Amino acid sequence: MSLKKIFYIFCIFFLAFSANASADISIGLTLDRSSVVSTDTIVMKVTVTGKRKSSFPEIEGLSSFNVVKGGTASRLEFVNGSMSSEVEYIFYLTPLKPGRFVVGPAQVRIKNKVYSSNRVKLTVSKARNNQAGNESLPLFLEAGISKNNLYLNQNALYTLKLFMSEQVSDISLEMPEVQGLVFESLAEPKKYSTIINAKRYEVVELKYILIPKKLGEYSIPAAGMRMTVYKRNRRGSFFEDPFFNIRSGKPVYLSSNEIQLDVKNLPKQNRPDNFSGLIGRFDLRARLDPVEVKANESATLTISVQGRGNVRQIPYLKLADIKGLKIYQDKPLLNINKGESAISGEKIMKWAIVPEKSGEYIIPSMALAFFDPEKGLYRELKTKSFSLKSNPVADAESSELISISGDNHTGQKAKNNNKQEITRIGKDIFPVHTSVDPVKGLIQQEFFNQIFILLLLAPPFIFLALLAGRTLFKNNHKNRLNIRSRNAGKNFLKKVRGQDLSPEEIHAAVLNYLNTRFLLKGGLLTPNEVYTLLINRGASLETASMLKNSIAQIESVIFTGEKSNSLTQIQDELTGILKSVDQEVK
Amino acid sequence: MKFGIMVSLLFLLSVNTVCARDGDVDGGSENIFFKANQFYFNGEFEKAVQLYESILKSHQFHFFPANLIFKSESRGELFYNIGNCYFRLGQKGNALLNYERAMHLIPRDADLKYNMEYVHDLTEDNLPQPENIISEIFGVNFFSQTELATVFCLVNLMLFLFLTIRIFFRAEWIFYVIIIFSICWILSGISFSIMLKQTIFDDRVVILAKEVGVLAGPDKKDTLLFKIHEGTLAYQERNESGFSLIRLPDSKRGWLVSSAIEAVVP
Repeated sequence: MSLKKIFYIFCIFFLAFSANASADISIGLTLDRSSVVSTDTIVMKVTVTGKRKSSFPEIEGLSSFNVVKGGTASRLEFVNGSMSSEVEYIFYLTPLKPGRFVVGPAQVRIKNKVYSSNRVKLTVSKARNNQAGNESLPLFLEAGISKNNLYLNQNALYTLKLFMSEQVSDISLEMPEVQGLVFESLAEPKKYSTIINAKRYEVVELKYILIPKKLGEYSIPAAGMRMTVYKRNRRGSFFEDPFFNIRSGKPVYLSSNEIQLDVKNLPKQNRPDNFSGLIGRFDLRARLDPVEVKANESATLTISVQGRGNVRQIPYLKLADIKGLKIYQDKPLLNINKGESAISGEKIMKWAIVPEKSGEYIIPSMALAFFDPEKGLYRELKTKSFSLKSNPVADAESSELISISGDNHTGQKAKNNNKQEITRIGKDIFPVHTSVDPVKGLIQQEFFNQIFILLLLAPPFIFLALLAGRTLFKNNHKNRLNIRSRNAGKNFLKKVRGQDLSPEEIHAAVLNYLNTRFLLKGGLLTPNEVYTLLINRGASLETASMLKNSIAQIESVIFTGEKSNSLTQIQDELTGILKSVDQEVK
Repeated sequence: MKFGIMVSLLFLLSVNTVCARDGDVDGGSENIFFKANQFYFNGEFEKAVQLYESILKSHQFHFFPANLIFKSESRGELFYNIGNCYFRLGQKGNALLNYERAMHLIPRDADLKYNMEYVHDLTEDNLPQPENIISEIFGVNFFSQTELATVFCLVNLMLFLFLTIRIFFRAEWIFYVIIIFSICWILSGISFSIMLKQTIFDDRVVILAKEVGVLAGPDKKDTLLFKIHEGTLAYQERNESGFSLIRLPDSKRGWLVSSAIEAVVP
């Protein structure tokens, strides 16, 4: 890795950590449950975001609990170029007595500054020692409901708890099905441990919101759970280790207790006319922004209804027509949150209000009616009425005004950042192309045509021509050599017959014959090589050895410098031998 | 045998280059084009059409394949302008016919696409638009005829160039280059062939009459099956005694008078 790269990486980390230093620091405190029995263990987490190092948290309200530290976890994340860091402190709380407690705030000190968390309420009820029935069993399923008397459409919390003192797997749930009752899953199952009659159980807790849709008395049948149970080996042998545990489990079906439920109708007395069936506890907020605008500019009225209960039935409030005002409704937004014990939510409604003329306009209050099941009363919330002041527009400014679309309207002027959908006003074809290129293109067309044809045809033509030429050339060369080979004997005779040649010339003529006759590359052959060559090419042993001897004799004359009278004889012999070679070798 | 066919084809093509052009190019074409534009903007659409068409006629190619492939994009622009004139004259059928012709040559032109869609919206018959997946895959509807021909010619040039080099210089890298160009040659050749097939065997016709009855046979006395309207695109199957057998994209078939339709590729 080059120094340059290291420098850049260092810079990135430096910038990231310097950004972290300026990040917002916050601290939060959470408990895994809000109501427990005195033998349960509660998991408490203190989360410090924006900093990976802080002083150990000091937590108030823990005097009634036995506290065990569960460790620390820190996290650093880079998401879309921004860095976030978090440190989480985990504690296990065991209540010392039943009661209602407030845990928190937790406080940490970062750079001499103290940060405080939220507080959390916790209800600790008495332990189950006095409950009869299941407590002696290793596995049992318990169903519970937050209220046995409900109003129509009122939400109740239905809880299923699986208590296990043995190892189980493959758990499947069969929820009770009752016509007129709807179960809606609340959150992910929770797992914790508790002690019943001095016996430790692991508990899996499932929570559902129960919504009665019909009146009447119900007996909610038992919920069922299927699972495979693995019994513990009490001997504690070497094979108890899960690694060696190959025992097959036993399938078990557990049923919960039945639950009685009475669903009654909402009281008719004092029922407001605008009651829409909303049950729970709700809050109503309204805001007009801005309260003063120029004519034909828009202001936004925002009303939000938030609370707990059947939030899906929060009605869409209607804003009455007001003379002199154009009103555009925006699509309402419903946010639903599934909490630990109830469904909460918020519905946000918006209207864009545009005064057509200058003046002061009163926007009347709007009301929301709901039934409070805790108090058994109908309640009605009202927004305050708003006054919208519209100022006259100067002439120069009036020309800038734009018309506003009705769909998905945000009620802002073009100069504002809020965007609005463009609506098509008219439709027509685009005009003719007036560029001079069309004609120029036509003039160049012939040239391009020829280029196209040339590019299409010339390459294969050239390739084929060259390929054919090369093939012909190769064939010609080979033929020429073959002809020369066939005429080698004749040429030798022409050169040698009746001539008074020196030994060197005779030797050269013989080698030339051999090279030409056998298409060799013109090397100097020894007598033995000549012998081998002739044998390989099909000459007889006699002819091969005679030629070998003759060449050896010539070479002897050449290298010793002896004058020999037998040169003429050798010449004659060679003529005969080479004739034999020509005959024997085809 | 193959070699013989190839040589014959190449010979035919080379002959075309010699006698490809019918009319001579003169400097007057530019003036005619400007005049036609002026007529268009003055609202004299009939005169504008005449002038645009006169430019096209003076630059026609009658010999295969120059008359089919090597049409410059300029012709597309002229067909587009003629289509606009016909639209202004209230002849949606003729407008769509010329837009379809332009589509072969300038398929990515945004104005053309918009105008075509607009005129299609104005036609009375609601028929599904035919889709050809193979043409889409090989980019035949995205590239113009000239572009496909150019790409094929260039790849062809490069492939044979490297094949020629390999005759004399047998390096390994040349082998791989030839493999790559061979693949490109096959792909561009397929696109080119599809385009040629679509152009040569383009049996599409556009209905020019305001309303025309489609009959069960090539006779006015035959049963009236259904009626179609101006601007509808159909496929012509055959002609018989002044009647044409057409097929609609939704597979309805019938005979109508030949004078009520005009082929996209004349």
